[in-house]
Amino acid sequence: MKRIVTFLLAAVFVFSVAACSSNDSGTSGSSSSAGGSSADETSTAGQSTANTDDIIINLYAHSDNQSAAEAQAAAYNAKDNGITVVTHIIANDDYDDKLKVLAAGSSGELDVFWVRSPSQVKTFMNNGVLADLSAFASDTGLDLTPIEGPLTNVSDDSGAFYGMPWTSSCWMLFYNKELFDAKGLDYPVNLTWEEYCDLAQELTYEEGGTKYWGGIVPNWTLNLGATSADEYLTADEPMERAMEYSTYLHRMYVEDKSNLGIAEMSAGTFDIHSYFGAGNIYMMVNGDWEFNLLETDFEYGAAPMPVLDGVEEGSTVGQASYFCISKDSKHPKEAYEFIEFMTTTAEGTSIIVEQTKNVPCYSTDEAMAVFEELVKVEGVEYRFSAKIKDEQGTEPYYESLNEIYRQEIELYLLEEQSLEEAFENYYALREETIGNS
Amino acid sequence: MADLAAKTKNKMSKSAKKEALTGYLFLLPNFIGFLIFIAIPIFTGFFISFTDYTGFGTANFVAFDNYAKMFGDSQFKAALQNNLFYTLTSVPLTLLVSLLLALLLNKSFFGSGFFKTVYFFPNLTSMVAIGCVAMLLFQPQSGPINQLLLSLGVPAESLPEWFFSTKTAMITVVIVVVWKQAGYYMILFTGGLKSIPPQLYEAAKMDGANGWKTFWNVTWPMLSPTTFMCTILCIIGSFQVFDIINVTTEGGPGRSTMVLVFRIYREAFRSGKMGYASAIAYFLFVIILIVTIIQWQGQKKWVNE
Repeated sequence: MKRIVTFLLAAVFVFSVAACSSNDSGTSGSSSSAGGSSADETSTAGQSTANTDDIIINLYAHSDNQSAAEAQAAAYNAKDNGITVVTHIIANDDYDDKLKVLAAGSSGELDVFWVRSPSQVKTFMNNGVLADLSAFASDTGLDLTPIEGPLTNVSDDSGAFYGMPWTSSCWMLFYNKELFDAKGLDYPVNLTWEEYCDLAQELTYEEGGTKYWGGIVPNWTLNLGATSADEYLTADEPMERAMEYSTYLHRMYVEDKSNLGIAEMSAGTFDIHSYFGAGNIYMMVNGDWEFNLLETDFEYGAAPMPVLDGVEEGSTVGQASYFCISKDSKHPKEAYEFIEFMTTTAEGTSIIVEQTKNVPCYSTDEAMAVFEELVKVEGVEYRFSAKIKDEQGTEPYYESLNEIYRQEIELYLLEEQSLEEAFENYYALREETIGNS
Repeated sequence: MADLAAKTKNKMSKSAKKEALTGYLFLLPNFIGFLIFIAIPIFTGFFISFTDYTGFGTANFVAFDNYAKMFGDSQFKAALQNNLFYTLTSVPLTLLVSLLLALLLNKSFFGSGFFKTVYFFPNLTSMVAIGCVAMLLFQPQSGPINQLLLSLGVPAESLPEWFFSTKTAMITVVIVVVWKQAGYYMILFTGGLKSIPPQLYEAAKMDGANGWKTFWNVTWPMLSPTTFMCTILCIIGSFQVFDIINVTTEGGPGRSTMVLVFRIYREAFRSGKMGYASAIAYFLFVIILIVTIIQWQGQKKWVNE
């Protein structure tokens, strides 16, 4: 009797472990714990009741895009065309890493997924993870002219492209109109970085117990100004634009203290939107996603990002995000039909604007009408006249260059080494990194 | 008679076999889990370390290229150096603090149970949460710790930068980690202290030994098995430090808090170099193995069984 009970208990344990393993692989390794969903990932089926004969397309997006992804899936599912889109949302902080694991899994459960930048699409392309979309686009007769630029970044030498651009971003300068009005100052439009630093210094003071800051330039893109001048981290020595921009950062963060210091901006709880929204910061350099994320009690305006001397006004940086199809998808044609709906149709692009206030790469009149209706910020028109340079290089080792550049410039901004030392160290490490790649 | 003895022996042997089988069946689920989630990945990782695997597609054999690349990689060297520094500071500090706490709280007094709980609490808390709070506490300009030092008369220009200076960042990490894990080792030392026969203390008292002599000649030798175990656990844990670094400094400022596991994570998941990351992981495994073997050999000299 004891042996029978023991056998039964052991069998229950073994089968439950085996069942959990197969459940994990069935959800493409989406959770490290047993079961289909973890706390970081949620899945929702479309609003229409899925017909059991429907083709299921799994859509993966990150939490910041959740509302847009779910709305687009719901709209597509409402068409009841034999395809049901199931959305899977992964927390933004974990998204890039988990996506790599999902893509490497080759389980066939990964159909459509969002990719943050052209460089990441390139990485997936180089590893043979993505389906070629050019044939599908050719079949549907889609006019690719409006998205030629973003498509170039995700194409190979034969002209095949591997991602459909979804939204594009653009770095801008945001300013607190009320503070500027109170001081009787002109709004900071078309500044150089020199002018920006002078103005930020002038506008940093303490009054009535409140500290006012001239501006806030976040410390997570330490090459912003140079990139807008077309100088990337792969540029030949000497990287004059990068050095010039670094001196302005040093001025803001260290000399004038017109910007929050690296220590404060590195704190885990630092939220740039909250800081600017508190109303005591005159200017903020950030991306056009702020039109959606910024909630303020005051009126704010938008202007072109400052530029280095000699750089064309309106020059800035940004990048497109993409939706791609896994080459292991069981239904690539249907997946492409959904992507084309999401990224190029009037309905799909309008949903993007409604849910994110981001500018779709494939600009439709309907989407722009929605954008004009929703985003009534003075200066928003600069978004559309901006000369946008790619925010990152697309070399496979660019992420490593970002890391070493950040390490060296941080030491300069913390006054632990000189500018010359920082760049000498960077050049040496860059050579080593490229050699090791 | 001999037949009866043989039959009895067989019966006992059969019964022992049944007991053993029952035991194995109970172990089987755990063993399957160990095999699938630990043993197989470990062996697979070893083979991956000899390839250029990126996580996608096929892996090409590159022999010892990854291992050779390690020693020319300044990021890896910095991580190794920092990790050694971290181990050499955090382990002695942790053991010292936890032993002191255990000695103080070993005596029964009003509230000793409460204090044991309080000192153990940090161990129950997620390191991520502790890291986030530590970033606020150790803010150089507005953090409460520097504000307190300022109020105690420390000049503003002498205030430490804590996480934001290459000179103090790693020490700050050590302080936070020691605070978190001292409670756990305090419990282990408390258990060790309780196992020391009281007659030894009585004998020492009768011989006129003072507090220090009692500690050095009775407590410390009798505690050596516990100390040995705590040292091994602490050293192994120190080479695996990752979460506090990831939440607070991310290896900075510069490379001053870059450690080996953080380097492995960067190479594997940010740079997509699974093969190279596996090589670093196996190098780390070898370091820990060598240190542990040295300790096991050394225990014969100083650990009282």
